[in-house]
Amino acid sequence: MTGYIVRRGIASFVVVWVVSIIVFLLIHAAPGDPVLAKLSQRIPEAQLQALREQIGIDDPLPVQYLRWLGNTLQGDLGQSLYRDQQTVASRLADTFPVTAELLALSILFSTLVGIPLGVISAARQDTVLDYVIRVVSITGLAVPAFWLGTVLIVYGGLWFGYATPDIYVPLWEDPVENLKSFWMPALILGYNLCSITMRFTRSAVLEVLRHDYIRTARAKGLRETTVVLRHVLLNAAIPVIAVLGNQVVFLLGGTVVVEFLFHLPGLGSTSMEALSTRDYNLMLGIVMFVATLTVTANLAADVAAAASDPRVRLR
Amino acid sequence: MNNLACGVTAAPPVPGEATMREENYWKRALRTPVTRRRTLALGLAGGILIACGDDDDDGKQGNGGGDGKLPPGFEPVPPGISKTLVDYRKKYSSYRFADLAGQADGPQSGGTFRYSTYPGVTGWDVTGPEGDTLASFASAHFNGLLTFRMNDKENPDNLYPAVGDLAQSWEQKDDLTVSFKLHQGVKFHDTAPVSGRELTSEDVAYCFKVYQGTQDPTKGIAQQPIFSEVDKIETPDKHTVVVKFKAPAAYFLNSLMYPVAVIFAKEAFEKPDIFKKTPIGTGAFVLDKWDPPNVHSGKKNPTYFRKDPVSGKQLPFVDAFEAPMLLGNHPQEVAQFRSGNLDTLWVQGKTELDNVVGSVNGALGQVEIPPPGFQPYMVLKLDKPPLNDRRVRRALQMAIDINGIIDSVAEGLGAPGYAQDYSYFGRNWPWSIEELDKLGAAHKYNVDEAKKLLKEATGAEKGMGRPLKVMVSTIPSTGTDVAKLMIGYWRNAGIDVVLDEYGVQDLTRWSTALFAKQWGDLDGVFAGFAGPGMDPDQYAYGPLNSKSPRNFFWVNDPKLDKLTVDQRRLFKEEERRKALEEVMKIDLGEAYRIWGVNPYKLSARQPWAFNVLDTIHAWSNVGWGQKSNEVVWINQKLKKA
Amino acid sequence: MSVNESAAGSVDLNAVTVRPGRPVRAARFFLRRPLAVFSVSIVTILCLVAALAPFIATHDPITIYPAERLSGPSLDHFFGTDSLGRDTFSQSVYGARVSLLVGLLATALGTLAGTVLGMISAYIGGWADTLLQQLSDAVMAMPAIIFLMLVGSVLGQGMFNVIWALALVVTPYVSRIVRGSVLSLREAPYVESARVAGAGPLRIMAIHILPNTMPLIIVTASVLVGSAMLAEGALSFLGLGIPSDDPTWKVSWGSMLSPDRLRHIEQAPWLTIYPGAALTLAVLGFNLLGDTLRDALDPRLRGT
Repeated sequence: MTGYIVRRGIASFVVVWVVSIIVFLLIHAAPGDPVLAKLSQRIPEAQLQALREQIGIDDPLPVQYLRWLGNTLQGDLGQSLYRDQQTVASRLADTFPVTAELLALSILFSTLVGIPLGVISAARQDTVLDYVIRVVSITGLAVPAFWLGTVLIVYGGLWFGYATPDIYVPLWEDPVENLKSFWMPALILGYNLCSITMRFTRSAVLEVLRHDYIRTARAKGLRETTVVLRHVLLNAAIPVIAVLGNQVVFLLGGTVVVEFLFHLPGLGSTSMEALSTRDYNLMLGIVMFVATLTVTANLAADVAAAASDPRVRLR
Repeated sequence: MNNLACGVTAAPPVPGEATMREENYWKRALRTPVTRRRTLALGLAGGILIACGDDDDDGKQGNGGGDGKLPPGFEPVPPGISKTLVDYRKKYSSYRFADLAGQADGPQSGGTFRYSTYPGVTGWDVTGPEGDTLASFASAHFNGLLTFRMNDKENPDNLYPAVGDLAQSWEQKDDLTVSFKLHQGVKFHDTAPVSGRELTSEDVAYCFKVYQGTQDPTKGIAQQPIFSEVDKIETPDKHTVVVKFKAPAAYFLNSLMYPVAVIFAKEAFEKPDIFKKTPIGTGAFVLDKWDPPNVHSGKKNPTYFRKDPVSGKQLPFVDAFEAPMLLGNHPQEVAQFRSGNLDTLWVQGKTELDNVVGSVNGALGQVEIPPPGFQPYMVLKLDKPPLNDRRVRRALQMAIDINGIIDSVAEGLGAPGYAQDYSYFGRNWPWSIEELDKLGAAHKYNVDEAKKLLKEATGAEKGMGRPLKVMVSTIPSTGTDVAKLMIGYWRNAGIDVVLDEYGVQDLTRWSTALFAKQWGDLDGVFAGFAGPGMDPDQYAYGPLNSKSPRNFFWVNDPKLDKLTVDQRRLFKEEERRKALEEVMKIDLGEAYRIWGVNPYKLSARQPWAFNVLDTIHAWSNVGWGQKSNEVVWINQKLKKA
Repeated sequence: MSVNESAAGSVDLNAVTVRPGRPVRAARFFLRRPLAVFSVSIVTILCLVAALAPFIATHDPITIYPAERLSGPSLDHFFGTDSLGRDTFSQSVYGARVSLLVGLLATALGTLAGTVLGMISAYIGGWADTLLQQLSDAVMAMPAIIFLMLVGSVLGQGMFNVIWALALVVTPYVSRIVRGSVLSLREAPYVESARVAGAGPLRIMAIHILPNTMPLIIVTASVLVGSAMLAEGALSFLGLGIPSDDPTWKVSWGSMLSPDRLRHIEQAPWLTIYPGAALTLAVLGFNLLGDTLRDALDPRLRGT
């Protein structure tokens, strides 16, 4: 078992290292000079060069990469190139809570709505209700979030004179104001996720419904509601929760656009800024952070699976 | 009353009329009925405004009085007006604000002013590469020596008369010497390490030396052009600064109004960590929050030295300003304005102005002419065939129907584009569409001629023989629409155009192309910003001299190089005007830059916010006018209602 | 960008068998499933519109009519005009073509590459497997949109650039699914017997494994088409997608939903309502098609 964990651990580490190479190469290949992100005028080449030297982007790429790698291994992700008075670590610390909250609320919403819908849909399989629920929820996956978001913002303002707060306040400073900022974006992302939750709940429930113990329960004369709630839901919940965990990376993608639209200073909008300003350090920092989270989560899941199933270890 | 009210002592105008348009502007304006300022004041809808503007307004300027009367000849807007330009100016012009509910209560203290700004700066190093952009943020926290007049409600110029900021008075002693007398008892913010000490002439001299960039060329990047002719800076006493020049610098005083040359404290500058993070100046607001891309806010500076030049009351009026960084996210901005969160909003287009003003209770709209520095144009790769041929460039300009763009995208509220301070030529800015021919033959829409020129120059049967590849933004704005329409007209003239669009993700690609000339296979880049300019020099030497840092048009013409330097040396307005006219003629004739349309700036504001848009025009809170935050006031009674 | 969707929605391969088409059975299958009929009709209509775009469109979608700026739906302009007076109906029609092309080509390329790599990975094993697995794990460890933004910034705008970028994202997902299924099929008795009978690896791959993996690949791909179309929309929204008036390819639905057009949503809702609804319907169609195919190909679900 220990051997398995070590092997998987090393593999995960290598994955994160490969990510760093990919991102490093891509962002340096993107045309645009970080020094010029700040300028609104021409400056002589000599001055430009001096500014490049100041932030250390005039060295050859391998040198830059090795320097970055060395620092990172020592736990130093470096300075943000664009907002150069801040470190990458401090920007991650500022922005991650925003995104984490958004994700948590979206998952909460999708669970509260998606699971009951999935159960109903399965219990009423192939009825009109089933079709309606399926179409409505699958639409959540099909409707572009930026389009839906814009519609909500514009018509919320026009018809109700309503807008979510225009300044983000951390949860621990003012919970009410904070949740006011989050409900609409969480709704949009949650709707998106809801379709996945609903579909998986539906198929998990259908799967369970075929089992003998359900037939037994029905044969015992239990009411259908009791069967569904007590026997089906509990057994269907396990695969659904596993799926939800997998959706975090997918959701992180959705946050980019939604955070931009609702003016939330999270990882998504920060990654947009990092790319737009060619902030090499920040971009690397964000992607490495997310990749490490993902890989660690996968590793934990694998280890848990291995612990319960000896066959996996031998593979 | 003016000298007193403006808080400046008049200095004799030297030499002659042309020296400066500064503190004794009002006297001059009265003496000579049509001066440059005056004509500016009349604006585009000259006909109407002349009727009321040719006035003896000495006694009734100012926002504080609020006598509730409309200027003579100015009728209240009838209901259901037709949507002509003139009607819009009538309906939305700042003149209307004389008669507003709550105006008569006069400037009141208190409240928070909220507007939308952008996260486009990374810190507060005003001497660094961002100095130019920082101008829009820094003037809330810092002061310069001179500034432009605000509260000038009766005279909505688009360029401004100078008034003293840190300088109490100033004097052009001779062609090579200017001296400034500073206000006494001005204190820096009470923030370590400066901790509220008094400002002296030494501080000014220190900052000016940094801005010259002679010690460290990476400092003063934005300011070097202003200070390039400075020879020596002397401080004969604690409150006097004397600047000596190597060559006559007629542009210098006006340029100081442009809020890049702000005064900071030496001890803050020497601690880069603090200097980058905290603006410690003498300005009206002390930094509260700087948390991009979330919010920028400031609290009232309790020891601020300036009094309102109009009402004589202590500035700033509001207790704080708070600016969420929403710019670039227009749907969100509009929703925030509608919900009452924002006090002011730039709108995009006449219809949107109607929609927004119509849907928010009591909201007011305003149409203003922007200064020449803000408008869409295209930068050409001038050395790449066939664009190095004058005929091709002229054909590109001729193929554009300026009138068509004004009528469609600008919804009638626009003027022919050209970034030259032609108000300096003793006429209205900007030229109206009827006067288009004054911008030269190339500005006249003539597809046949364009096709003929292209054929002559390139020998191609259609277009210019190969596609024209241009970089254009997808960032939503009227400017983007103007650019797209220009491209559409080129296609109509048979020119193949290939787009290289960039969005918010790729701003750096754009700035790299434009400012470092890394063009790849591009033929042109659309841009929308050539100013601002407080002096015609900004529009002459700035974009057209081959050595100027603002020449991101990459114009390289020996004739222009000479002329643009010559005009900087001329103090006599007439002589300088002649030189500038010559510059303009060459620039337009060669079609070095391709112009579209200059859409007017349209804005809405809440009924309780005063002095927000009344006079600041392009010097808005997101442009170069956080300075104007200090004169904004909120009518609390109206806001509660 | 629900690329995970496909992975999670995979079919249990051991249960998959392909039976030759029986028209009557197929017809009955469809008629019992209204959503199947719905999805197939959407996709069919989409393909027809895309193929016949030049005949359906009433105007050239990139020709400007400045005087008719932002005019509402009329007989001349069925869906109104945009801020430059371009015909929104014609844009929507041509947009179907580009969006469909992006969805199909990106998925096809990604699926093809993913299938080949997945098979190599599973069958050769060893260092090739390790390398490919590490690479695909790395790509999947990044949020797809961030990876797309990065690749998009490098390649720049343009239809084929978007296709390449999307294919890069699709490949590792498909390869992982294919690898898994090949690994399990490799142990199947009939593959064992083929091997004993002396069949080479290529032959076993082509005759025994690929056909049995096909249903899974088809189901995965059908869902990915919709996801790719949506991803193109998000990229275009961020300004990294397809130009809004390419002389050859005209427009895509994604570029018709750019912030520049969305800002007119109040004044001219028709500008973004039609392409938005079209994109939603199309993605919905492909997602439901995926469901239908899964139902059709998975006999276990067929009974229910």
